[in-house]
Amino acid sequence: MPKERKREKGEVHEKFWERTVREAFKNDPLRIAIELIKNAADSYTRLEKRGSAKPPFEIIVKLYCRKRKQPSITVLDNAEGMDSKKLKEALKYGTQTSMGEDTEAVTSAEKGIGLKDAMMALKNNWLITVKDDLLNERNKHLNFDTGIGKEDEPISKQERKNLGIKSNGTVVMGVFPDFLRERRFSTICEHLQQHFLMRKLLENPKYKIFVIDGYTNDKMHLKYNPPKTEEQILDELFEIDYNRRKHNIHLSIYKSVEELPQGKPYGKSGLLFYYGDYTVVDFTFCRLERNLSFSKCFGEVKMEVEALIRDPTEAPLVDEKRRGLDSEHPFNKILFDEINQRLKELEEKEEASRYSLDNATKKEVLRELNKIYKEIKGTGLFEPPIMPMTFAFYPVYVSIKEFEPKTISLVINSTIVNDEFEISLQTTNPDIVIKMPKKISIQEKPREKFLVKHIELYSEKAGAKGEIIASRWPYTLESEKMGVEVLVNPIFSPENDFAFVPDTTSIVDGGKKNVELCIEKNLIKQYRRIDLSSSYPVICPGEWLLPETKEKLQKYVVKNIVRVELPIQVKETGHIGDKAIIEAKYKDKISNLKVTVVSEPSIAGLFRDIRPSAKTTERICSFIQDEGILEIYYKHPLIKKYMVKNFRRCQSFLVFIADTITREVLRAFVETGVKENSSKFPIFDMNRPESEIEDHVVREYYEKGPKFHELFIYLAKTFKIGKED
Amino acid sequence: MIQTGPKKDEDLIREITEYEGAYVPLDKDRLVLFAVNYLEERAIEPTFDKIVVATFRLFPKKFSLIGFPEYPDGRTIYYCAYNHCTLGKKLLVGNVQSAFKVTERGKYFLDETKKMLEGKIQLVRHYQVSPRRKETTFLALLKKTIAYKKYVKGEKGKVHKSEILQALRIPPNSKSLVPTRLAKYTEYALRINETSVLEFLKFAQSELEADANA
Repeated sequence: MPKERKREKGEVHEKFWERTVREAFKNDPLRIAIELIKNAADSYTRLEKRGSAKPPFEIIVKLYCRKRKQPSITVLDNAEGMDSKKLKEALKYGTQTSMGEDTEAVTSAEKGIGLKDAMMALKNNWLITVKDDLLNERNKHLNFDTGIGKEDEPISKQERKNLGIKSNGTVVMGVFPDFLRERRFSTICEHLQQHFLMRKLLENPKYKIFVIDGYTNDKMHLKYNPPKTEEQILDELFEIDYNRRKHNIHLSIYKSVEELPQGKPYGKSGLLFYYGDYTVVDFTFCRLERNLSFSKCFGEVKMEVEALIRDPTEAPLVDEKRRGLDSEHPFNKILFDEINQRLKELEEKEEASRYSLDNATKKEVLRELNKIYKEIKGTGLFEPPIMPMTFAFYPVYVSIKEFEPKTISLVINSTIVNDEFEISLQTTNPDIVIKMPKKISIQEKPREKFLVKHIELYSEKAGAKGEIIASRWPYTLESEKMGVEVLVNPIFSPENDFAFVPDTTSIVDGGKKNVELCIEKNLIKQYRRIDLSSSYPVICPGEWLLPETKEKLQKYVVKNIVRVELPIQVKETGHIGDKAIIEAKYKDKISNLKVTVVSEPSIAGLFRDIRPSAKTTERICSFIQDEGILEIYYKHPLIKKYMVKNFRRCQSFLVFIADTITREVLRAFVETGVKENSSKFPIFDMNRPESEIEDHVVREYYEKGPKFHELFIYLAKTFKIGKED
Repeated sequence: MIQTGPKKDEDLIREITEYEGAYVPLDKDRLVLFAVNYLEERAIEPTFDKIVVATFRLFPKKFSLIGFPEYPDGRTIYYCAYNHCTLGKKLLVGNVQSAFKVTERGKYFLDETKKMLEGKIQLVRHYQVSPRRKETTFLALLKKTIAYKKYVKGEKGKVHKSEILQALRIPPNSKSLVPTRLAKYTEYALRINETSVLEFLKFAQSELEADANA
C-alpha cells in the first residue's frame, strides 16, 4: 500500500459525492469492480486501435475474501498507463478525457460516473499507474480530496515485480463498501460471470479476464455461457432517424429451450443493449419486462450510436444513476418504440404458439373444407377455356383407362339455350359407356355466357375406340363429336402375375397412404398369406391375409385381378429424400415397391390454415381471405371463460364454438364463390349483393351445417390451451 | 395421277398466301397441325422443310423471326411439329427424317382448330405472337417488376429510383450502366413493337436523368 505524501482539495462538496457514489452502487456494488475491469479493457482497446498492442489482452482481478471482513480488490492491466497529467485529469471533477472503447469519443455514453466514482466507492483506494518508466500513485477520499503518493518517480524492477506491470499499466485497489453483501470468492466470481454488464466483454475472445483468490492463489477464467438456443426468432437491421442522422440498430432475439430468469443484473431473459464491441448500457425488454410471453427469449441490440456519443452537446443515453438507458432521452424513446413494435408482433406469435391445434386433425379438416367448397361451388372450370358459338366438347379427344371412369366437359353457349333445351349424348361404341348424364337438359335460361356440363365416361374394354356425339336432334341438326380411346390399365397386367402397380411411389414425410398390390386371380389357391417387409424409414404390416372364402375374395376382384390395398407409413418425420423398399412375397412370387419420402405439399384451396390468434377482437373467429387463413381468437371473453381444463367434455360449449366457426366458414364459401362468379351463388342485384349473400349463407347452413358441426367439434377437441399437458 | 416432283411441291408452297382468318390468338401447335394437314390435302408430302415454309406462308405473323419478318422461324416450327405435336400431344406421327402425318387423334384437334379459325369456337386465352427469345424473355421480366406495374397502374409518383434500376437490372452502385441498359431495352421493345414498354422506358429515362441532375 503506498503512502500519501500530500493532499489536493476536492472541487465539489463531499456530500454531493457521497450521495452520488452511494446512489450509483448501492443496489449493485459489483459494478465497482466491473467499472474498473471495463476501464482496463477500454485502455487495451485504445492501444489496439493505435496499433500498439495485439490481443489477447489480460486483465487480472485479485480478490481478498474473508468471512467477517469486507472483500478487497485489485484490478491490474498492462495497457496504456497514465502520466501524472493524465492521471490528474482523470480524477478531476467534470473531466472530459478520452474514455471508453471509442478513441474518437470525447466522453463515454455514460457520463457522470466512472473511474473516480468506482475508486471513491472503495475504501482505502489507490490508483497506481506506470507510463514510460514513471510511477504515479493517487487516491480519492470521500470528500473528493485527492491524495498523492509517488509522482513521476522512476519505477524500480522490484516495484514492477510487486505490481505485476511489465511495461505500462495500471493497478487500482481498495476495499469494497459495506453494501456489498457477497463475501465468498466463488460467489463474487459467479456474479461477475452472470452480470449483464460483463457479458459482451466475456464473450469477446480478445479479452481474458482472470480472477485470483488473493489468499489461495486459485485462478479462474471468467466466461459467460449464453442460454441454450432453440431458434432465432428475429434478426433485423433497422435505422433510427435522430437529429438528421441515421443510426443502425441490429436487433437479434433468440428463444431458449427453457424458461429463463428475468431482471437485472443476473437475469438472462432480456435484451442486452450495447455499442462498440462490448460496452453494455442496459438489459431490458423495453416496458415488457414481466411479460410471460418472453420468458424464454433473450437477445441483443447493437446500437451504432458512436456519432451520438461523440457529440458533446448531446445528453448521455444512460440515466444519471446508471440504471440503464434513460427512457426520457428522445433517441431512446424512438428506439424503445421501434423495439416494442417488434416485440408486440413477436408476443402475438409467441402467445399463439402456446395455443395449438393437432396438426394432423387440422390438415384433415382443411382438406375436407376445401373439398366441400369445391363441391358447393362446382368442380368444373371457372371459365371455360373455349367459347363455342353453339356447344363443343372439351377436350375434343380423350384417352381413358379400362375400368377407370373419366370426366370430360361439354361447353354450351347460353345464347342457344331456350325453353326445354336438351342435348342428347350418344356413343358410337357400346363398349364405351356414358355413365352420366345420358342427356343434358336446361330448364331455365342461365345467367352465365357459357355453361360447363360434366360427362362421365367408362369402359371395360381396352383398345376400344369410338366417339361421343352430342346433338340437339330432332330440334336441329347441330351435333358435336369427340374421340375416345380406351387404354390398357396397367393393373390388369401385373409383372409375373404378382406386382405392385405402379412399382414406384412417393409418400409424404411422416404420412400414411395405401398402395396397390395386384395379383392374378388364378394364382390364388389355398395359401392366403402375403409376407411383407420394408426398409427404414417406411413401415408396413408384416403380413396380409387374403379372405378365406371365394365369396369374400370376390369383393377384391376386378376382371382377372385381385386388388389388395396395403397401408404403408413413414416412421416419424425428417426423412425427406430418403428411399425405401417394400417387399411383398406370395408363395414363390416376389414384388418390390420403391418408395421415396417427399415433403408435404402445401394445402391448396380456399382454406390453407387454421390458427389460434392472440388478436383482441369482438369476434371468435374470422377468415382472412387474402391469406386463406381461418383465425380463432382465444382472447375472446367466452373462449377465455369456457375453454378451460376439461372443456372437451362440455358438449354445449363445443357446439357453440363449432356453430360459430361453421357460420364464418360458410360466409367465406359464399363470398369467395360470388367473387369467383360461381353459378352456384347467383346474385340478382350485383350492386347490393349483401342480403342475397346472407340468403345463400342460410341455405348452405341448413344443407351443410350439421356436417360442419361434426368437423369443427372434432377439431375443437384437439385445441391445446397454453401449458396444458 | 402424275407424280408431282419436288419442284412442283415447292411451286405450290410458294403460291400459298397468308390465311385470311383470325389466326393470331391461336396457339402455334394447332397452326402447325393445320399446315401439315394443308399439305396433306394438296397431296404434298409434309416433309420438315415444306412444313416450315408452308406454316410461315400461311401464318407469317406467328412464325417469323424477331426483327426479320420476311424469314420463317424454323426453330419454333420444329419444336411445335416434333416436340409438341408428335412426342407430346400425339397429334402427328413422324420425325424430320421421315416427314409427318396427322394421327386419328390429331384429326379431332384439327377439326377443332378449323372451327377456331372459322370463328365457331373462340379461345379464352390469347397466345403469344413473338417467339421466346432474348427480347421477349427480358421484356416479359421487365413487365413483372414493381416499377413497371406501378407505372401501368398510373402510380408514376410512387415509383422509386431503386425500383427503376431494379427493373432495368442495374445493380445499385452501377449507375454508369443506365444509358446502355436503356438503349438495349428500347431496342428490344422497338423490335417486338412493345409500345407500353417503350413509354415506360422513356419515363424511366426522365426519372433517372432528373435524379442525376438533382
